Amino acid sequence: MNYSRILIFCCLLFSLRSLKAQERLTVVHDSISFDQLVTEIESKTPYHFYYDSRNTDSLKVSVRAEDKDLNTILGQILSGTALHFAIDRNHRIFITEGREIMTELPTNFFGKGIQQTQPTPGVAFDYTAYEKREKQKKLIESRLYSIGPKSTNMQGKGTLAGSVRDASSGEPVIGASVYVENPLIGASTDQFGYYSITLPKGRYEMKIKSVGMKATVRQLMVYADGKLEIELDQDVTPLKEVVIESEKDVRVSSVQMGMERLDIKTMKNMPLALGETDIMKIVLTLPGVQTVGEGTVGLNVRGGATNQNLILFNDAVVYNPSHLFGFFSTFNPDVLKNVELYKSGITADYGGRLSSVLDVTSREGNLKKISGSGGISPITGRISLEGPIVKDKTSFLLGARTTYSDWILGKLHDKDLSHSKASFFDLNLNITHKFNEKNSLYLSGYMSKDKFKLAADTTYSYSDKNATIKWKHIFNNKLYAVVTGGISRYSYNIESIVNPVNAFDMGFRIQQINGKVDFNYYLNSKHTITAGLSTIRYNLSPGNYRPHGSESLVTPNLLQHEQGQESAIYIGDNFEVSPKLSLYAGIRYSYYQALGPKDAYTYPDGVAKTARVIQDTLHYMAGKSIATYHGAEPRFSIRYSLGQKSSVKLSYNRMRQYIQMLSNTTAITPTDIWKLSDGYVKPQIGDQYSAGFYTTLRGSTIDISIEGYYKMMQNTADYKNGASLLLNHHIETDIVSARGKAYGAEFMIRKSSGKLNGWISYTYSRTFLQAKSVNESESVNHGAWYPASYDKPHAFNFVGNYKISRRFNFSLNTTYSTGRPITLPVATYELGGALRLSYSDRNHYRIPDYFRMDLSINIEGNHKVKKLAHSSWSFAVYNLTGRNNAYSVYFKSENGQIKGYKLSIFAQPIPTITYNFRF
Amino acid sequence: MNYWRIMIFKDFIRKHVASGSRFFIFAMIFVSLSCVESYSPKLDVGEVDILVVDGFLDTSDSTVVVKLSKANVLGGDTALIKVEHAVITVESNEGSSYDVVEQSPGIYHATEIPIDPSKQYRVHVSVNNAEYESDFEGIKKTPEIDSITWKPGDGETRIYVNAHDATNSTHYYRWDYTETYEYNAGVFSAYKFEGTNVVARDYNDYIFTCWKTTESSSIRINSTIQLQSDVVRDFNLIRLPVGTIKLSQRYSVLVKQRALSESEYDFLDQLEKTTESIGSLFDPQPSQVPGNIHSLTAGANALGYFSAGNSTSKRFFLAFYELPEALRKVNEPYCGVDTICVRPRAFLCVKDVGELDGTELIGAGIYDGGSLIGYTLSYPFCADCRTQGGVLQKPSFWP
Repeated sequence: MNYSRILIFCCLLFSLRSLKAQERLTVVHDSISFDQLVTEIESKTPYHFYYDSRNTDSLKVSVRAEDKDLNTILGQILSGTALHFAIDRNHRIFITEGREIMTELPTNFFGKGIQQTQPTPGVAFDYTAYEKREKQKKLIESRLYSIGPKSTNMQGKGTLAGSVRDASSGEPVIGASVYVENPLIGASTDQFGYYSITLPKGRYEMKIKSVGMKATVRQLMVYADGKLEIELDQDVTPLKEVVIESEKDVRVSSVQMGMERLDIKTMKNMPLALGETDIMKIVLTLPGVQTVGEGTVGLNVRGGATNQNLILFNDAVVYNPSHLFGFFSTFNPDVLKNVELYKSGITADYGGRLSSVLDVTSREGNLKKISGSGGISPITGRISLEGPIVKDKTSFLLGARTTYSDWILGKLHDKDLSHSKASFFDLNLNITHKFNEKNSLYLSGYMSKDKFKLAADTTYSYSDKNATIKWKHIFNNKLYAVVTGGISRYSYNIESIVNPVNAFDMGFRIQQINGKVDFNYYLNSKHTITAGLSTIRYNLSPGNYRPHGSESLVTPNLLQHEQGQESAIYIGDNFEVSPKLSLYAGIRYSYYQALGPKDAYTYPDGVAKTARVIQDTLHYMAGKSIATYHGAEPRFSIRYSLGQKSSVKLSYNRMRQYIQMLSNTTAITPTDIWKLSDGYVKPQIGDQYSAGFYTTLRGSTIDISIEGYYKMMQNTADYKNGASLLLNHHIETDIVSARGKAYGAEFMIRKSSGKLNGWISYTYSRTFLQAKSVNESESVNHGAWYPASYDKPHAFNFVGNYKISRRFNFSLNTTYSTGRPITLPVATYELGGALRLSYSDRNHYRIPDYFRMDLSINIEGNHKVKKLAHSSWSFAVYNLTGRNNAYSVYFKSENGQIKGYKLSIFAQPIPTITYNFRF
Repeated sequence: MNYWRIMIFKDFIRKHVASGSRFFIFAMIFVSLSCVESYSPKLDVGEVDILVVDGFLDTSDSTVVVKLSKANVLGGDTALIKVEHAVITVESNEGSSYDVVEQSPGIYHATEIPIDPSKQYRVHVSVNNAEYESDFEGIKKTPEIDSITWKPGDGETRIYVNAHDATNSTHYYRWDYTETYEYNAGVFSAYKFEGTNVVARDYNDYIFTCWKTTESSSIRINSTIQLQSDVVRDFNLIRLPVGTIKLSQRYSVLVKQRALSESEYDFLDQLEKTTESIGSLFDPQPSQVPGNIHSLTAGANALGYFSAGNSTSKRFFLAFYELPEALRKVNEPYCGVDTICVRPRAFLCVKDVGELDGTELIGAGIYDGGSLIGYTLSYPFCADCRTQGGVLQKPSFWP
């Protein structure tokens, strides 16, 4: 190596000096061979080409150069190829592949002598593919792009638009920041990787940054409106110590508050439970997000119930995001791109749920080459395959995941366990097609299914299926529209066949068909306007109980179907008043109708609704409105910068929710039912006020945020004591309407780069409900405020990553929270010869506090770029300290004694090993 | 108390072929555990003052029994606090009222109440300056039990009950049962002490065979409301694990069946859910199950149920020899026998007869060539069947 270096230096020293080719000439061709071009240039100029025709014989070039110097012409021709050129003073042009010949020594090679020549990239002799790309990137970064036809009128503004894509796969990069610093004008890419930025005409250096990608710049000369496609290189260092980098500016500078975006790469570094990257568990480490217990997927965001989160997967609603009682989430980590969680400051384009929006986006599939990835852990196996169908136009992404737990359970000696069954799978398919620059089509399909049987004879199964089709049309640089159509369906089934006389099937199903149109209009550099309309048709089958088999005497019990139509129209404006002050104002108006056919019961006024007091039955014809609700949902956010590094934000939003989940168990279970608003169950309405302070320290490597909120909720459902929710024909008799209030403060310190990175967060939050009625049976705790079952005042999280070397990385996750409220027995009494329990007021006590620590070590394979398959190992321990966290606490009457028990699910450190690969 | 469920997947070795020539072999061990521990929370309640009313109007003999007690603080004394000196009446929905008088502390009786099955009845309690009242309850007729059957199960014997109502009006059933079983002591005691002398027992003195009777305390209810016809087929009322002493000789159960109103069924169902079958992953949150008794005085609390109706019953027998081979096992307590000598230290004895204090029991005699040289010695828990709760008196219904 050293020997060859010396040799080359010697050659360079004695034979070559660089020369700027001053000759100007005009060459205009559409697709001619390289040889032809060489002949032409040689004929017009004194220059002579030296090249290996094997490198150029397949090369067709297009060139449009009028009165340009040779350097520019050659640069134009060879950009995008692997070829380089060098010109020496003897009018010789060397065309080389892969590496550039340096025709002079680097500036200051001998430590003195200032040569004011054109800067030339330093010579690196060990050209790997990586460095080749680096070089290309430098070339692009130093080139000046003219936007719009050249003109001398430099008055007014020009709008630049285009998309930011990943150079290696061609996939769009979401949430990339595109900005110029002087004056500070910026934009970020939307879900299609599309950006639009309006700049006063002139010369700029535009910066582009994104999570997990190399930051880049473009030199611009803006003459008028124009297009600029940008490709970003992936940060090939697979150690993701910089992944959150681009977010650091965003937290302070964006008007959005209460939002967290997590990139799949960040998530893959976090400790895993059961060997899988689980986005739902990772979201739980963020401030303000809590869960009622281990092994449940339900999220409680800022004092909201688990049904108040809009969980979207590629714009389709997911009703149950959990596998195996919540031990896994249904999102296959291999197909995911990123996850956005909105806790406050929710923009007007989202609606339908009170507390939060969890927007999960999958990748689009590699446009350039076929590739795949997968992983094997003790419980699950997953694989994904992606690639172009038509190169650079159509791509697909297919992901599948399943478990072999059935097979494992069957091997066990424990009789209860070996008779148990638990299986699940999920499938994803995405197809993206780009018709042309203005039209793209996105198809996404998703399906998950679970089936389990716990020792007993009853089999539970549930399934989420959805599909969306999305068409994006760009009208011009400033305006584009997206038309989305989709269908989501969630169903579950319970089957019991052990006693042929009582054998039954019980099913529940909800289906929604939705359509929407969204417009995005970049009015000017100060205003970005979004507007749209949407409609959702709900069809719900709340319960269908049927005999199973010919011997069964079970009477079919079919609950009436429910229908509803929810429509909304919205408009929002992101207004940058001044570099210091920006605001977002939006309004959504939603309109909901519960529709027939349905028979609805009527109850007398003033008495508690019970089945015994049903007065009358009203029949509504198909399509007839049973109840109508509508209302405005204003959304407002404001940001004010306190210098470069800090800002304060305020936001207010009102949300309306027309569908609720009914569950009187504490966790989301497969048998929870959803209920559409009707004459008795009113829509939930939530108002949230929040304020936050954001600052960065130490050159933006540490950011600190403090957010506080106050939230009020109306018409949330709680239950009468001993409510029965399954197969209930008059469910309104078991529900009580409660109002809620929640408040809290969230502190977060995040270090996003360096060997050690991660975050620490602390949340103080309280949530109270009140169910007050003149009828005692419709009140809870005599109408007093009581803590909601997910009220956990203190929560602390630590997530840390430590990079030991390029291939070893170590991470630790620690969680502490106050135990959730519980209703405990306080007295015993005797009835019918047995000891019974008398309970306290609802949620008067708490289960023990929760604490857990997880650890994971990721070991990457070597970093050779050219390898058949890249692999990595993850070793993780869940619940390192083996603490017996209470999942539930219960009391039982046993042999005349009342005994209390605490059930823990993961009561021991759980080690897992996962093998991941990609090819 | 900790019990762990451990699943270890040993030798979980898979060969994985990738990129043509490379083999990845991995072994994985997965340990999944869940754990149940006993738990006693700290409660901040001082005193509880809840009246518990348990009342039943029996239409078959025109009687009313009302039991009054008070609830105890959890974790404190569990002894029943009886409530005395209450004034209780049973009222019909047409205004007639009958006094129920205290017969023994906390237990109130009334007899010869003229019952009209078309009327509804309620109980009214007045005690300690507070008034309580139940909802009106209708009278429901209970059908006969069709049969009680048994089937051998997996490691257990199962007793089933079958019933039906041809008029399709019962729908809600409750069963209580009284089990009686015959069993033997571990060691037959042929001798007893009379003073310090050992004498042979009379036939009437044998303490080898006992009969024990236990009442059910769990709530066993079933609903046929989901079925097209009002039929209870093979409701599994009792499970007797293999080896239980209940089936060691002969077993009998008297099943009492009672038709329930829908609201009483709901009450019992809730009571069962909140105190018996809880602890699984999908349990509802427990809550107070107040029943149909309400307090009419502010600040006073009441629990319990007053119901009206009749019950029907049927007796069932099952003997040890009827069981299949797999279930014909008895888990007997370990009863080692020691030997005692008639003459001091005549052979390897633990004690001599004179050294005994009279609490021991004597098994059989030990003979050497026709002459008594000692006895086998046992202890009451082995040789006296009464120590396990039974009585020597054979029940009248026993075959």
